[in-house]
Amino acid sequence: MPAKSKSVKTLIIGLYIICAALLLVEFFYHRHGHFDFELWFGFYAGFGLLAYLFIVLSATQLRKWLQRSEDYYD
Amino acid sequence: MLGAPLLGLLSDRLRASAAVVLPVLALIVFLQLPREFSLNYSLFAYELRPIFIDGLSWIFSLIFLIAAVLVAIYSWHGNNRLEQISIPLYAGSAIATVMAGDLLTLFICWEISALSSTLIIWANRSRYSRSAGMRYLFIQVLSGLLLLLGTLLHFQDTQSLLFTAFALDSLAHWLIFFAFGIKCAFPLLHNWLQDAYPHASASGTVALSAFTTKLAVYCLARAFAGTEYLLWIGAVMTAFPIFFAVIENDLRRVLSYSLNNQLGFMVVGIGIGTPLALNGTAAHAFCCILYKALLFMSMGAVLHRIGTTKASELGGLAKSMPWTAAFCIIGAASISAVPLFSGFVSKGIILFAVAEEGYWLLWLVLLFASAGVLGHSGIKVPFFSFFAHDQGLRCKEAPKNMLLAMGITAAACIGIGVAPDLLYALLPNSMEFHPYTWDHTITQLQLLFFAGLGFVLLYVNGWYPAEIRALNLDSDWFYRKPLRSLASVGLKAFNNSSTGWQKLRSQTARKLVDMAYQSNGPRSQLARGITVSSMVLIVSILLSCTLLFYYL
Repeated sequence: MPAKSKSVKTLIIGLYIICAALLLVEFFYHRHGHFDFELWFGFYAGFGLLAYLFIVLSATQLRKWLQRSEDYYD
Repeated sequence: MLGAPLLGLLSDRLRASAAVVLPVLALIVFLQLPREFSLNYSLFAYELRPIFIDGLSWIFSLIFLIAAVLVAIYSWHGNNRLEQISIPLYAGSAIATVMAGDLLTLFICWEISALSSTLIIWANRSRYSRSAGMRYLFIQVLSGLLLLLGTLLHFQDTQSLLFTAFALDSLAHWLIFFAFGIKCAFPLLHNWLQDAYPHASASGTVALSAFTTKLAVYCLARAFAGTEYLLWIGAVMTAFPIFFAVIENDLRRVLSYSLNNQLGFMVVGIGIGTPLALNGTAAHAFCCILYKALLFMSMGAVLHRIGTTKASELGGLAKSMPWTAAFCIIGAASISAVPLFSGFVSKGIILFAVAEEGYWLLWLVLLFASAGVLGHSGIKVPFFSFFAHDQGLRCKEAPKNMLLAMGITAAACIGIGVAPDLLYALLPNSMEFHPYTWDHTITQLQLLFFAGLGFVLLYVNGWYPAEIRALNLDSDWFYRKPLRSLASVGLKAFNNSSTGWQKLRSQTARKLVDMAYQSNGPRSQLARGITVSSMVLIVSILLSCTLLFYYL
């Protein structure tokens, strides 16, 4: 875990603000979409977050099976 | 004429400046040609069409030429003669392959590109590059053989050598399909990519990344557009490398998995086959070559200065290499399809085309993959090398020529992102597509920022997997481990004899085992003793076999 300097903290808070803003924007414009589920509130946001978490957490599990030492093939 | 790059630097030991001039000249010549052009030629009463330029091959030739120039600038500092000869040879053969209108020319240039790219890997002379190059060569030659067989069968069926659209209706076409698929890193046939690319030098990998796989994309687009299998092959290709990329330590290997992922998008575009989708594939190939090269260039610069690209050993380089870091971030933003960067305007076409056809499941997979790309390439690569835990590494900024190459590429990435119509005008089919709708921009920003939020949450809470020195298994395990174990068991058995014949016997036995080893083992005799002249011999044998076949 990195040391949390002030600038890092500011960046993280900035990120939260942008994310919140992006969600709020949804109320202000007319959504088009090819598919019905695209039009749910926060679909892309939620999908992005969940997809990312799923990928990293399952990759961590996958690592348990696949990991070997660096000179495994030598 | 454009075959000139093929032969150009073969004997020239002089330098890098010539290496830059050559592709620039070729580019100028190319731009004089009309966008529709074909050259026919009769050889032994067979109709050949060595050069065939239409919308599709035009844009691929263009980007290959541009890439050749950029690679030449980037590698200007080098003094590895083998590499300096091989890179233009490789670039030229790739361009010639794209321009080939008939299967014979295609095959010859295909093989030349395979051999020259192997030479690039071997030129590195690192601990692993000999064996990695050997495995790479074996797989590329396999792809070439499939192509040859397919071509011969196809000729038997149709009496034609023209390279046009094929349907998957005969053995010949399936063989050709797999030949292209190998070079395109289809799932289960893909591991050569991650195995070989990180073992080339800094410039070598940049060169490698640009050509072989996109060449395969072009060939698939020409021959198998609209084939439904490609939709699902492509979907798998976008999804599975992401998992591997997240846990991988060597950042150039991460980029290789990421390359696989990008290829998946292109393959899906080919699978849909509509003019819009093919435009998307061409646009994406164009942008991908640029931003992938940029990412590999930045990692190459790190390799050049620090000596490793293992994430576990890097960190805090932004202070020493601010420009490289900035360029890397631009590349990362492009590959993640951040609005205002090139990936956004090209990936957008493909996703739109998929949605237009109503393939909602496929579309979700692609969306999933898009979020995933941010995870490994977008965040992991720049973050763990330039930021993250500062290990106290300090070094000089990258050499000026590398910075120049990166700068031009980065400018192109931003330029395309900001003014996409410039790119769209170059595409094979005309289309009306506007990437910057409120909808698309905002939803993409949502996708990306929330995925980024995911990263922050994981990292800050210590749940993000650490970067460790390790190796992860992939499908190459199947041909690397079992065969070696068999071979060493065989060796041991023979070495246990204790008579005076022992030496003679084990020598013969070793030869037998080695023959089995030869095409499959990572430390084969062939890898030890190979020289450039032997390669030339193999090429000439292959070519004469081809000629022989045509006589029969």
